[in-house]
Amino acid sequence: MRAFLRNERLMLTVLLVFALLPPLFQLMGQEYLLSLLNRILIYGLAAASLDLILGYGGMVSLGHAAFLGIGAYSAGILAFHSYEGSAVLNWPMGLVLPGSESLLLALFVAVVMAGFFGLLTGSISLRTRGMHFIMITLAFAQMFYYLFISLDRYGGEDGISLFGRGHLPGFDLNNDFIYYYLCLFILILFLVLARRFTTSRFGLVLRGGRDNEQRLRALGFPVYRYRLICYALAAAAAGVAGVLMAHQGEYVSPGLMHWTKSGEIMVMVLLGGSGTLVGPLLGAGVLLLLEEVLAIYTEHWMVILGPFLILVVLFARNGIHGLLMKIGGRDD
Amino acid sequence: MIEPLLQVESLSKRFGALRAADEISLGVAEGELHALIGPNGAGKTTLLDLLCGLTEADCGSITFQGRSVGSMSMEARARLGLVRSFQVTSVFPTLTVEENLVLAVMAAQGGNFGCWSPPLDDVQLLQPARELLTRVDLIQKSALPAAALSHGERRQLEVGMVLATAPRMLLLDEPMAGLGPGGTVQLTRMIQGLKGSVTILLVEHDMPSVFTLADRITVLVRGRVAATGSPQEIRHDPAVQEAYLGRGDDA
Ligand SMILES: Nc1ncnc2c1ncn2[C@@H]1O[C@H](COP(=O)(O)OP(=O)(O)OP(=O)(O)O)[C@@H](O)[C@H]1O
Ligand SMILES: [Mg+2]
Repeated sequence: MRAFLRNERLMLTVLLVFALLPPLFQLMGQEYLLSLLNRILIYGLAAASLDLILGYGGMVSLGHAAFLGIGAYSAGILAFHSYEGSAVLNWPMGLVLPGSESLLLALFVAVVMAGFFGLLTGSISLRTRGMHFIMITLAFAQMFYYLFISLDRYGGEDGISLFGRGHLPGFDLNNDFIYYYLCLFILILFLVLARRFTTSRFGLVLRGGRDNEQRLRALGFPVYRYRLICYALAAAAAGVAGVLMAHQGEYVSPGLMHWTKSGEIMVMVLLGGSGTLVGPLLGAGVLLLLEEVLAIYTEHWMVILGPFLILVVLFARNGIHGLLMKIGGRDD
Repeated sequence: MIEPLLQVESLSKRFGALRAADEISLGVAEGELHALIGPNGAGKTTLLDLLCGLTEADCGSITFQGRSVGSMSMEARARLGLVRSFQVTSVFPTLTVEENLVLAVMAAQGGNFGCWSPPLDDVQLLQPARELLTRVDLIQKSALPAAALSHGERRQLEVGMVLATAPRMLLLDEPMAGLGPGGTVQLTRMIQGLKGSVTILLVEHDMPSVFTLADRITVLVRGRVAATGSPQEIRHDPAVQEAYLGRGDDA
């Protein structure tokens, strides 16, 4: 219980820092940092959603970026058709979906699409275990990657460029501050829901399955169904992150679905500490910052980052979160 | 004669050339405590695996409460009330002792897809969980992760979890294994207390507890049933003595 409270406190601190940094950047005249912080925040959301699968569900998925991509393309394709003045869907019986730059519509479509494909691919992947599960989630993600590369109408390998950040009634999303705080709001919303989810009955069953699947089945729990639901919900949340990412960078490309992107998100979770929700936020922050800083000195930044990550995973088993808890534990 | 709660007919399972279960037939009546004994590698754990649905039999039938359960999943059999404990203690190591039991109580109550209210705030779950924790003597350790328990304590936790599911029939695989003499006596007393209210198939090497507890005993040797009978009959069965009880000493 005490660990739980400390975890809660850490999460509040991190969110507070996220909330206070932008005005600070402005005071220092370093506004360009806002865009980096915004990316950290969105990747943090993606990583935290993977944490539901990886940290709480114990399912090592190497295909999470596919859902990020599906979310981003939901926004991208809607906007593309809006610029073109055409319809996304034009099916008989009045089933017409016109192009649109509405952020809310993009979020809705992304949640539905990512959730649906999460359910679909999850229902197949979750029949396997261990290494097979890793490979099959990776394979599905690569399938989406190649699918979108082959869609010439949507820019193929080049993707889709957006003109502006889309619309939300009452808000000017092209204002970086407003967009940032909107993302922060969505992140907080996700964390509140995810916190409830992981401490609920459902969450307890899920964590039980991560610990000891056989025992859970012996108790009579249909583990597969719990995992599938968790997988689809996390996919939907990644879809949300995808929409935010598309509008933040005003650009959508298949590269977002590449397996290296899935790997990067997984590293954020492991680096930050899995099964903690707040850890992945820290992981996203540290990884993106390191990338940014190292890229200044050398283009071979991966050579430095790789060993660093291995060291962290080897020596700080619970990542940054584990280290912070250890430090915080002394004065309790 | 009334139909037994569990009826097994000609159950067989091969691992390559090894017949781990060879035409096993066995009936366990409602309320009975039936002990299953036999030398190491006789196939006792294999038989429990077949009964609970962890492994699928090559042939033969399993009838529980008059229903054929041979092709049901482990989960489905557990929901019918056929529940096992494992020879190697099997708990949820990173969950707290209390969470372990709450999870088991949830299994019994059902309706666990709730994504909102925390189970640890739910009196309907906490109260039975705490009662069971008291019964298995772990109430002081409720907040510890199960991984921090000693071997004997984990075994107590496991028994508590199995009890929480309010089973019709318990399949216990060597519950005394690794317990000190004190623990064995305590657990024997606990199982004695369960007798009558729940049907039990008990696999156990500890002969004193077997002969104290069992109503009937089946002896398994190399995958086959060597003898079935009351403790008296088994004690004096020459075939059994040779195959099993009389290893070395003529007790
Ligand atoms: N999955 C398996 N694959 C191959 N052989 C197996 C498998 N499981 C069990 N066996 C073999 O089947 C035989 C019966 O094993 P089982 O575990 O059922 O014995 P047991 O009576 O429970 O023994 P113990 O008293 O040591 O627990 C053993 O020879 C064992 O090696
Ligand atoms: Mg055994």
